[in-house]
Amino acid sequence: MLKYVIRRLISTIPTLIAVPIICFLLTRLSGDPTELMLPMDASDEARTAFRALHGLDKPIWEQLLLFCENAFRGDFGMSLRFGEPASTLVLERLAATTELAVASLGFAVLLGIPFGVIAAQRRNSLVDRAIRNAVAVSQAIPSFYLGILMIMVFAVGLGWLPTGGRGEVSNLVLPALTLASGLVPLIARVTRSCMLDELRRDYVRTARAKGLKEYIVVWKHSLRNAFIPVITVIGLQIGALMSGVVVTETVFAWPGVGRLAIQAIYARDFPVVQAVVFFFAIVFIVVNILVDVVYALMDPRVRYQ
Amino acid sequence: MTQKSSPYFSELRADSVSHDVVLSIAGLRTTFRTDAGEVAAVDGVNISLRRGKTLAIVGESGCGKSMLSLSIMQLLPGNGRVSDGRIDFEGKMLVGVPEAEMQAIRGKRIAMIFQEPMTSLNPAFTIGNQIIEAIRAHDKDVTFSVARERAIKALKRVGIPAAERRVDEYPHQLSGGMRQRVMIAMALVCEPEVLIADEPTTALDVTVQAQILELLKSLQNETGMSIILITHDLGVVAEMADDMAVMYAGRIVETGSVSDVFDDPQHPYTLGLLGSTPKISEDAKRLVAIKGSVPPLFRMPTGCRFHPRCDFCIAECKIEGASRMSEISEGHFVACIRAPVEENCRELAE
Amino acid sequence: MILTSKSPTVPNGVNRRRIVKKLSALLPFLALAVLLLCTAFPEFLAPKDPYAQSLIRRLKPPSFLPGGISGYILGTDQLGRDILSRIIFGARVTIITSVLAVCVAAVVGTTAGLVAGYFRGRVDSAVVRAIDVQLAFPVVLLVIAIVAVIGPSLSNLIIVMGLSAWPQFARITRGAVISVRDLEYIEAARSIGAGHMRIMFRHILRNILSSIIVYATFEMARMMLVEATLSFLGLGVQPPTPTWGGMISDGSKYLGLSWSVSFFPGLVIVLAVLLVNDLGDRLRDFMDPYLKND
Repeated sequence: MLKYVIRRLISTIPTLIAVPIICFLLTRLSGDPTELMLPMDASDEARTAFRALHGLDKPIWEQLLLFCENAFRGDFGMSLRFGEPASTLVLERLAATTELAVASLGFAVLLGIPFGVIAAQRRNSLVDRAIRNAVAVSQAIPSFYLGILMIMVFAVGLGWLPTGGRGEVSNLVLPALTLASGLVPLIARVTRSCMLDELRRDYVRTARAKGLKEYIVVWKHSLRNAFIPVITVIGLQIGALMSGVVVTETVFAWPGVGRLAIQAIYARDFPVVQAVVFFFAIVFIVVNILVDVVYALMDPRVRYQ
Repeated sequence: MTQKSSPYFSELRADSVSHDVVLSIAGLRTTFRTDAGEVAAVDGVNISLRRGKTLAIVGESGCGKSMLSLSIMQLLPGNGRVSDGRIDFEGKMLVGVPEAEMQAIRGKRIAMIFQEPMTSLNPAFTIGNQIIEAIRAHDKDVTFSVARERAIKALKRVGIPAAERRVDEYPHQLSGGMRQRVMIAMALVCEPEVLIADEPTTALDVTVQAQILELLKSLQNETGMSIILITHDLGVVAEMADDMAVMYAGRIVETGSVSDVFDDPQHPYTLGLLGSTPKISEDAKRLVAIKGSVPPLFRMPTGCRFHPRCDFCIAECKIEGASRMSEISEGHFVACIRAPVEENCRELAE
Repeated sequence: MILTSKSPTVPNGVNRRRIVKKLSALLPFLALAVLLLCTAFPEFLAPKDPYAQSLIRRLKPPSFLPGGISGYILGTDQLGRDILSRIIFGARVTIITSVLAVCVAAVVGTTAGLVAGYFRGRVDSAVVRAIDVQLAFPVVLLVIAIVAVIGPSLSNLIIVMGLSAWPQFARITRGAVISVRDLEYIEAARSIGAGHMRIMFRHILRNILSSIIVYATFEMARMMLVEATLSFLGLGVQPPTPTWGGMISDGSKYLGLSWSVSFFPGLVIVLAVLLVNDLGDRLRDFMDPYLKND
């Protein structure tokens, strides 16, 4: 198990090296970063001082090394807009984004898995066909549009829930559902096909031969095994979820990291943009490792290798 | 567990319940819905299992013996059902019993072990958990720790070394023979009256096969349970069984005590089976291997289903009723109008 | 067959059902033709000038609802512009960016996959590493950041979106190349003296082209969504050029006053993406022996 985790950690090294390089290159894409980092009307003295301060007069590879060093210390410089360290701004908004992400993952799992199991138990039933169509539609509907439709219906139309902001649980419902919308049918579909495989296995017959009740055979024995590939699929969706966070937070004015990224981009606040990209990439890597570890914990055959 | 005083007793047919019969099957027909229409995998089977004895059901793969066992357990695949006949178990008619009642019987009073020990255990749970689950499914008052003790005891009984440690291991950590021992421990943990063993040794090494058979035998002596042994291996039958039923294309073609059938096989199919099996006495080589193959379910021949492959086939074999059972000697039945073959077909057998 | 409608079960409905079935089978192709016409000749299809503003007719509902103005079939936006005409003109940006971005992705990815799979060795491991690194990034976020830096021109969008999608093409191509490179006909080509280029492009690529085209169709649907997202965030093609995502963004600020500004462009995105995905399904069924065998 430990060996497995270590091997998994080693495999992330290339990505870990690539992350700060990509963040660094981001501000060099348009040539002179002073153009990006400083306000348009900055004086020439200010520009020269800025270059000296950030080592922009040094060779490019030295700049890169400096950036990487600072990045791993969490230092991306000061936000041009808020006048605070960029990493502080990101960390302040972390709780809100985590809340949203966890809530929507919770929705996705709690809705997707039962739907998938029921669809597998009753193939070609109404539930089964509804899920199949929901998958097609959810792949075609942009999450921001779904969010706006839900605001139209539940906030503006019916007045049940607020249109945006954060605070009450009611604030969380629409953004979390929006973020979960793509995941629910996907999880349901994967659960369904895995359950169909599992329900055909010999151990299911053994479980029935023991005299177990059918719901135990399905929800305990089969689902436990079907859950393993489902976790992998959830892991593969983490990237999409993070992109979804940016859009969903914008639609619902949710004060998280994603919204900060968009605000920073609008304000051309590049230290913050770099910090967010770096932070998201690191979280993405860490979550993927966690998913693989959970995967290993779920599957004794991997755990004991 | 005796149910002789049960109110059902008097209603039962006399021939299906002599005092020592645990399980009797009469006219059983199991059908499957397929694209080619409804087909019968088991078609009019009569067998009875004597208390404390082993009944072997023998036949080639695809003859319906596994479906017969799944019919008893009512674990048929979704497109299959028992469409006719009766299964009487200790004075209780099992066909048509509600699922909840059947669940109380499965594992508790009739248990089953399967051919594939490698895949028949759930890979995600420890073997201990799976045995404990079997105990607590039938007796919710048993606490977890008591059930665990019973599970360890059950593992010890089937000869698993270091059972206290093994109980917490996962199936993939065990060898095939060990897994089959676990399956047996799990099946017997509730002390069932009947054990159905479906090809229990087919997937195992020869040496392990012998150990498992030995184990089943000694456990039978210990508990007095009755065994239905499904196999295609006549060596296993000779080793294990008291009675045997030869199955062909969904029907029983010959049944009787193992010694009767082995010493004096009457149905040409039985003759063929014995002839094509090594280690059988010299005079069993009267016939060469059976020609052709088992007919598909949706294209069954009329009359005796064996007639297209039979060396002794005559015109009457092809009409309905040719597969009627007749008693050759006491307790030895054969479904062949040409029996006894020795007398009727001497010139052909040469 | 996502767009088929269920036929009504009337007593003598057999004929009618067959006609409905036939028509609904044609429907996707009809819709595709309309979409392409909108992309090519929006001037001829749009009933109004998509840029013509009028403060008097701001945020009007569709003409078939009370309060609507006749001629403005789907109503007007916050500047009084005709929504239908803007949707028709908006098709161009979405279709052109997504088609060209997929072309960029397909060319880059297929070439990388071909070279990696054909030569193996160090080139291969470099490509595989690059694929892994890129797949380990939340790509849409990166696209947003890059577009923000280099500016949201049409060509920038196409290049960045295209480069964000190359790894999947490279993966598919590489896998296919590895599975065919040692087959007999490749050996035969090599033995009659065909060069690497010739073998890769004439013999191997032709064999896997159908898989790539099918995948490209699905990828195009995804690119349409990415483009819409970028436009929604204000990072797509800039106003006043109409874009579907931009229109939804405009409308989202006036949800309390008018639902139609956001609703109709979004509906069109959903239908267009469903349509392209459906096209991908059909293509896969008809021309791809690799996937059909699955």
